[in-house]
Amino acid sequence: MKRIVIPGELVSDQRKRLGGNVFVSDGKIYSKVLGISEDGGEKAAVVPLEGKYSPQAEDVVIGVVTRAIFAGYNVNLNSFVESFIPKSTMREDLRVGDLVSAKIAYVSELREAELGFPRKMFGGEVIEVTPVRTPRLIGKNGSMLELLRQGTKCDIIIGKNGRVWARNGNTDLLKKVVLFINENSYKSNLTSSVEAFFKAEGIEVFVPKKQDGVINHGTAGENEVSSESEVLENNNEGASSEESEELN
Amino acid sequence: MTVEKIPDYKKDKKRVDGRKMDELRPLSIKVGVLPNAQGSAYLEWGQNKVYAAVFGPREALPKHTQDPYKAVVKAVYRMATFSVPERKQPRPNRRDMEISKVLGEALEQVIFTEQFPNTEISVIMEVVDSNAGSRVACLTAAACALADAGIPMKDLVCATGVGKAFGELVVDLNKDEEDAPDAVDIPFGKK
Repeated sequence: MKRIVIPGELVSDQRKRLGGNVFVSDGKIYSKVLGISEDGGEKAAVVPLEGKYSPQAEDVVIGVVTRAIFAGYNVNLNSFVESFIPKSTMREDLRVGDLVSAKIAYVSELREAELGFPRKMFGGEVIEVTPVRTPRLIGKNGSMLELLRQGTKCDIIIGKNGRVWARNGNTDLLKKVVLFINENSYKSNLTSSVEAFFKAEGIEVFVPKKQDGVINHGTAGENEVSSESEVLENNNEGASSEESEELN
Repeated sequence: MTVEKIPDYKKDKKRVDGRKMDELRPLSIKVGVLPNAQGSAYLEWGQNKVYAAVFGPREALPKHTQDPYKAVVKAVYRMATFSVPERKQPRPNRRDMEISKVLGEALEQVIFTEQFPNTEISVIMEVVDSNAGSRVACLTAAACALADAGIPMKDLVCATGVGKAFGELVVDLNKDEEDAPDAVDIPFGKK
């Protein structure tokens, strides 16, 4: 059973592995945020509905250059602090307002992100979404991303910081679909409703089913992991194991 | 409403506005009302009407206010000039500053501030209409706005006033009761 929890609401009164966004008080597990929790299962976790992006290593992000100085560039990642790209790591020159895609190499204890593999983005558009809802745009094993690519014929990069970059193809339609997913991110079976969305626009999409014939659309954000897409995913696993060690 | 003759709550068993002794005024909260804020809430509590907005966590400026171990909660309580019968001077006075400080400390207790070093969380509370108990209304609205912003918290803070008026202990005093000759009023916040 999935249910919406508010901060301080009981998630589980049993001893369980700790997932994200929960804390322990008197041996019981409570939610830290407004989100969705699933009863049953061996892990107690809450998938947040709102929130700012907090950088994690290995995330693919899309940044905007806000300042150019001699040594490098300041990049806004929608996070708490701006990141810095040294000029020596860039092949191209950047200007204020340029878009950069990068992978987060390392996050310091002050939550400052160090960026690796910065690349300048040429052309394209950016759609802003709520950062905590980006896992739903990717879907389990990248199913939703594949659907978006087929339906709109766009080149898409999904930054985990809530920026979706797209070029070529039907970007107007993509914008509609992405905002639809953003608004309905708490619902289950989102992939099929997006398929219906495309069908209403008169576009046929075909998503190859996985070998065992089961793509579980039902689970929200947390467990969805993309495999083949550019957006390598989900570090919640790593964070959660740290927290569960803390508990023991 | 003015009170013609001084009521006696011990005898009447009913309050000036018809409530029971432990009954709150009608309360409604709506979140996500301000699009430019990270989180926001609008609260109506009797005649009180309050907006709360949350910005951040964002870089704390000026830089000397930063704390490398935790986030700083900056709360601002403000009354609109038209929120009271007599025009309120818009400049923050002694009362506003004290309430801002106390509400900020109350919210800091429930936020996991240690997750956001070097940042500030701004909570701005604006009273657009008031009738006693606007500070507890602000605290309740601010807690909802923080939850709407997705900021990790131990609990939602809720608050109410408790006091004595017309010879009986009552909950959530309105202006008439607050002005009673024997009135004592204490605001409570609880997580």
